[in-house]
Amino acid sequence: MPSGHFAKAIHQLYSVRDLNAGTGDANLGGLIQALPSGFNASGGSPVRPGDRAILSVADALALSDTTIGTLYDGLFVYYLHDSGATATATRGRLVFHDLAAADDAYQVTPDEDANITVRDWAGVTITATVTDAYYWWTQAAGKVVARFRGTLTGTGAVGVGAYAAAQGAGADVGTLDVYASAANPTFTYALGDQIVQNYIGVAEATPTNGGITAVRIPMRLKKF
Amino acid sequence: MSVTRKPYRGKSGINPRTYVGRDFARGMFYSEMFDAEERGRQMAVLKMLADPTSRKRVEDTFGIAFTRSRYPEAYAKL
Repeated sequence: MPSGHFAKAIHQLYSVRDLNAGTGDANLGGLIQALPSGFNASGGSPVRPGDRAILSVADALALSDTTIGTLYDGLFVYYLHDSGATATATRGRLVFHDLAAADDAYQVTPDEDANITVRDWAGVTITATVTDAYYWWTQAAGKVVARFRGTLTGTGAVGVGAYAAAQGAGADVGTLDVYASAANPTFTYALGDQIVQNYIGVAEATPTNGGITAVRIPMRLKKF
Repeated sequence: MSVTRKPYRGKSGINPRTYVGRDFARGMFYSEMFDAEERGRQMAVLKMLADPTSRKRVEDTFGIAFTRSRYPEAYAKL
């Protein structure tokens, strides 16, 4: 059932909707419309967890629900979301590979892991919300709109590095942070390691406290 | 170590009419397969066919000439 294919048959028409609309697919293959309430059957879409699609700027615009936001070019991956998450996968927040699930489940969780914290991030949520145990696309590279923590450590500016805030839980779970212009800490190898591991991308707009702004994520950071 | 592949000479037991290219081992037809970028383009085409406002949004932003050339299937008469 899991896939991971870079090459794959396309969506069927039933499921063609804006990538950043809705709360995900309730079941694998999408949900058939207009059936009796509670009847949950696959719509037959060939999309499976681990599938990837690369969208150009125009592709992403065509697949955007502009009332929610505009999608930009990049790599999108279809994931299963954890059924028992504490946090909620909301737009702009990171989701992380779920270490409790098998690799071939392609399962992600909005919860930051207690041990490796944010280092195994999988992508950024593009819909307003993805419901627990639902399947949906997540953006893993390219220009993505990401959420920053409530109070930035450094000063937001265009071109500064964006890092996973690693706040563990609460309002800032899955958010990004900037360190530019912040007070210089004493360097340790552990700190250097943390900076490298938590790097997400470059801010293309000025990050603000609690704001949702564009970040360019390099493809090489994708942890397939 | 280099690996030399034999070119297809028609005696491999593969019927050229049903030859499925690089995904032969998976048993899927090449014509049903797309790379990740083409898949993204096809998703956009299907969205445009299902939702004309989607196509208009791309036309308004990138121009009709570009849109027609990148998504010719979106202009097919259904």
